[in-house]
Amino acid sequence: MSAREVVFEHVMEPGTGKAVPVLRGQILRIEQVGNGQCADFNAFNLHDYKEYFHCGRTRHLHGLFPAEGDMLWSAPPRERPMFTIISDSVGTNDIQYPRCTGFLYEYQFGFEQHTNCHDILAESIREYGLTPDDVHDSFNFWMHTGVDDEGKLYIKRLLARQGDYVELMAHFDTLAVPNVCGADIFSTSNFELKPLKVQVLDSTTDDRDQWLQPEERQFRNQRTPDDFKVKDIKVTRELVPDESYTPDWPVYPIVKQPVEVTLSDEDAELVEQLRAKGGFGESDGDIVRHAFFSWWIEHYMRGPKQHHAGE
Amino acid sequence: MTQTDALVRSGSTIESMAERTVVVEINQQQAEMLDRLIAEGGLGSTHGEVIHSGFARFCREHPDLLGPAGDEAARA
Repeated sequence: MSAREVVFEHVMEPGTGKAVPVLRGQILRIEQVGNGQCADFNAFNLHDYKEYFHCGRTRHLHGLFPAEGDMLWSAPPRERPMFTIISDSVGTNDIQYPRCTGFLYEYQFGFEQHTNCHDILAESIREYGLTPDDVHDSFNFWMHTGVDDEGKLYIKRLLARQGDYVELMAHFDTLAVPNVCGADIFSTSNFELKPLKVQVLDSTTDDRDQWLQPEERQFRNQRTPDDFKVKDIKVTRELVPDESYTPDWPVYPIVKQPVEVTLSDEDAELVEQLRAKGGFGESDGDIVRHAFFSWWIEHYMRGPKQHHAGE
Repeated sequence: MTQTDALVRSGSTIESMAERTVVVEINQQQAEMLDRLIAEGGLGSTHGEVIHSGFARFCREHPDLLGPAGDEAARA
């Protein structure tokens, strides 16, 4: 295929969203119709709704502000790339803030009824038989946020303009659920709600060659229901204990063992210097272990290190 | 009597005049990782040697994380 073909197009008006299947290798494109509108986003495995998008793993692997080239991951224990952001004309996205909710607007501002992402997402997925409890933490496209010196989150004026867009390639069959964020009393969308255009496009061979991840699991710990001890989805709301239950922990007991490490006088001096610097532990054994594992993380760990030795 | 037997245990540290042996506690998962490093080669043939190699390399690679030496620290 030499050009992308539009297979679905829809303009989401303010106060609405849309659940739309995006199949493996297809591209979801969300485009600004006006100037500066945040899109909240949920996603599910189209063939198993219990696999859904996970902010936490995405944040862990790609940092606080994912952008072009980063992936959206499904929740543990599935933990597969659901989408890759293959194009992002602005590069300001957020995965810290939770979706806004009816409670938030009532508690903070006294609104009995107000547009909110949770309810819009819930109404969008109702088309597929899902419930408000199936809405999950959202990826917030274009939401322009920061972290202040005290570690507090804050929202800045949104930068996207008419025609700006994001494009995501699906790595397996998904139900994608973008919505027009309902926050008009924060600077999330510059105090005005605007439409967003949603398209699903068939990708080109070049697109897939560049971006598409393998369909099969790459790690044995990217689990499926076949790996679960309980394979069926629970159908009752009440929680009652299973009388026949006995714990079967994956790794237990954790057994400690001593390892003797011989230090020269020079090594012993290094231990004292690390102790003087601080942040490596109390005992000699703690300090040697902390330094060793810090070295190992730096040289052997795959992905973002997220480790500052001595802090 | 081995060299280790001849050393004097003091808390988690076994001391002698020329060298001392620290005891590093690890669990079975960490031991498995050390086994992989031993199999790769180049860091030592025992858990203790591998930990020592990594510790020494870390210190060489991070002189910025080393505090003042003993006498200097005492004066500070």
